[in-house]
Amino acid sequence: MEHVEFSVPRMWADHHVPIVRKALLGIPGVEDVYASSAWKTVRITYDPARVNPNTLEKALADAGYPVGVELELPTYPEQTKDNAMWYTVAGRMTETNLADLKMSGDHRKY
Amino acid sequence: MSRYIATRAIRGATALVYEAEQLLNKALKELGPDTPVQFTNTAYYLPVILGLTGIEVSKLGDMPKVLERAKALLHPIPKDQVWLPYLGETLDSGIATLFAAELIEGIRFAYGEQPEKITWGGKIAKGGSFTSPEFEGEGGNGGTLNGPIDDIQLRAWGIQLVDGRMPGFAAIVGCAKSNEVAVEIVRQLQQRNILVFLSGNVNGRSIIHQLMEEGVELGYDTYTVPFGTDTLSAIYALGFATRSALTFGGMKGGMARDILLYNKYRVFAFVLALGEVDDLKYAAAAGAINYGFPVIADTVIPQILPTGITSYEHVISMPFDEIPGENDLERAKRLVQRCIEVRGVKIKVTEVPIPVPYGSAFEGERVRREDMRIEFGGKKTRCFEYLRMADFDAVEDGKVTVVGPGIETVPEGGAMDMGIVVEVAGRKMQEDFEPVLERQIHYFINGASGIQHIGQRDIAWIRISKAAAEKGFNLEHFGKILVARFHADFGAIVDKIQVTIYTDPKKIEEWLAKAREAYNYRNQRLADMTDESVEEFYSCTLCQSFAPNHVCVVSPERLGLCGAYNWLDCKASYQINPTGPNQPIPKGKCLDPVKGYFDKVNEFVQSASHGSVQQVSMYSIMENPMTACGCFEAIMMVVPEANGFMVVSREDPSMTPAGMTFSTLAGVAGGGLQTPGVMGVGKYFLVSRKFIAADGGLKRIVWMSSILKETMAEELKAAAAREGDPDLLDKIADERVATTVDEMLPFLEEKGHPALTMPPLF
Repeated sequence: MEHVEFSVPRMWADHHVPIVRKALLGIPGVEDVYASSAWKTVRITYDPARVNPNTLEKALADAGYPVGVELELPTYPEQTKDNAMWYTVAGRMTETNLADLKMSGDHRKY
Repeated sequence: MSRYIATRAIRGATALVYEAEQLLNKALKELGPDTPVQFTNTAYYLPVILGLTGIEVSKLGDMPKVLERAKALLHPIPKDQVWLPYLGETLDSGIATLFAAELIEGIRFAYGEQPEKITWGGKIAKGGSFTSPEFEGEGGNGGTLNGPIDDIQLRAWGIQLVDGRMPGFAAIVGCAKSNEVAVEIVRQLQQRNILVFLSGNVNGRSIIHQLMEEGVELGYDTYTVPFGTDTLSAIYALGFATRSALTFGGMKGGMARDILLYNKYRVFAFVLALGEVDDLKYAAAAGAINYGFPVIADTVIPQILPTGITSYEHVISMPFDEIPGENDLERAKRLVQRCIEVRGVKIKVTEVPIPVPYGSAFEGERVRREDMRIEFGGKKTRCFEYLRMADFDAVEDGKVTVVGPGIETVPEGGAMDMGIVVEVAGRKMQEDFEPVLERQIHYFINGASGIQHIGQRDIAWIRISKAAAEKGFNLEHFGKILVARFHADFGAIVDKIQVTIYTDPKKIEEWLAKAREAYNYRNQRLADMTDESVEEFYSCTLCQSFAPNHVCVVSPERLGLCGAYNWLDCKASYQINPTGPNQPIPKGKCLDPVKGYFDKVNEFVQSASHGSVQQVSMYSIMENPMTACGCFEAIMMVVPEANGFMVVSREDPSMTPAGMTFSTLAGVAGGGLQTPGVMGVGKYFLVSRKFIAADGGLKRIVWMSSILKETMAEELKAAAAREGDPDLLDKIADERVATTVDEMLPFLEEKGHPALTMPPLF
């Protein structure tokens, strides 16, 4: 048995994990899969006589998780005084609200 | 504040909002904007979104505007070099995550992918708190996880949440170190009566799988609710929290700040992250922190110590293998203890000296026939329980005696007769408290894991499971449970307790006769007790911890709307805790005997409702009706077209002639609001002589959920006969014959329902 580890940046949450595992465990020769959404890596134990890393990599890409390809996130504009939610919805509080202070508990002692 | 956590939470939030956008665009294209979106049996749409924004999402087309709100809450990922406070940005991103997660779950519902199906072939228990031992099926949908908790269950748990029996909830996300640890964590929480919500996975394996493999019964009855195997489904826990504020706190959608503060101060919840933590888990944790819920992880992660959003620490790392302890079970225990400390959950644990775990969370556990060691009562044998007051000298405190053969004399799966006689003595004990205490036997015995108790008096039915018997549970332990619990819970009125368990046939005959004589005497005493025969009513402000302006006024002929507190219960409760929620209210001058106005009652209600209710009519729904918190067993509403009222039960999910289901109606009836024509009631109030007496009484009921008709058939028939119309029950429509006014009216006319010829309500 051999091991191979791939970086899979698009597997960033645990609802992606079952998809990745299913894609890999269905391949003959794959013995075990450890898919970590925390580290965005997948470690595969496989039989080199039956399957090779290229096949595994292709299976990942076909499932929507290409190796080493970062998730391209849209860049949202930096919130400023003009359009940030805390200004537009309720007005950002910059002083301690007396109601909060009155209700606050023991944490003020820290 | 940790830059690492801020970075990962903001990144996770951004990715999830992006994913929600992609998914929504796909769904709008494939299903269309008019496709309905609804969580199971709830009147609160997508509850987190409703609560925090006021937006009522009922179809896919309502979602884009929520998505825009989520986007506006996102912030740039912190830069490597520049130090900023980050907390505000992280919290905003947390809320954006919750919106996105709820949208995704809503879309999954639209696609029919929720509640999640699970491939494991085990059984999932679903259903109400009362379950027959003959219920042998799989329950619910078999291989489907729970998904969101429905409104009916939320309200059913209401009274336990407010009276402290259920201190809060633990949202567990991920997978424990081993199955053994998973079971121990859940058992520890169950023993403290903390609701356990399960979601998330690590490498595809969830704590739900672990518990199922170990045969742990999951479901509403055992306080362990499997939401789904990914972290997205943890949104249902926050939906539950939001709905608590909407249901019991009288808040409306959009009151974000109030809802979050309500949760911080009233809902004792925390998140326990088991196993590695990914970007989404960080982001969802940031969402939970907004509610004042701290996060405890059993792995190495950075911490966020006190900054004021939660009561104490915000994020705590407690790497499992580094927890001091001799073995993993001890480490699991300490982990749970730490969680409770961090949230500041107030818990009273009674030590019960028996060989099986003990706690209210085991109350709903079933013992199926194939798992049963022995049963008492039911179809084959007799079982009764009788509690009586005795002289001080006649009671030896803590003594438990078994008179007759033990369970070892009966083959596995067999049955035997049993009688439990409890004798109590106390300076403040009164004969009137006997039935109040006797009814506790059901809850006390049910608290033992592997023991099932149903019924009361001489129709009690008890089962001991094989697992409990193997651990050494025997007859004597019933006595030990009762001694420990009566001392702990009723110490103010009970000083000494002794319990005798009879299995000897001759003794059973003798004591059963005595017990039946006492039951008859009590029945007569209760029947003779009227509102006119007492000088004072009792208040119940127990629910003010959740519904701050609600006051129940409990009289001998009007029990609390939750069904859990009658006049005698309140009287006993006052003796136990003289400064507690049940205070005597002198009736004072009767201002109107028909509608039930009393000057001192009005004074009390004005004060206790903080001025929001000026006067209350005890016997009318049309004029100043009593308010409701949200725990009601049934809701009544006027049906003007039929000149009467309908009553819908909490257990009835069907449509009613009012055009609303129970869940929707509950929004009108709850939250301490006084709405003429709408009222939350305890179901046994229906058979009271004083039931809406000013408006015409039981004869005004034109529609009633069939479950009420069936489960209370004898009582309702007797009440109908008393009202002079013995066939009244057959004249009342239910959801099987009518769910609209148009369907109901011909039925009422055909049956000659008396409401049609009564004086007009308006």
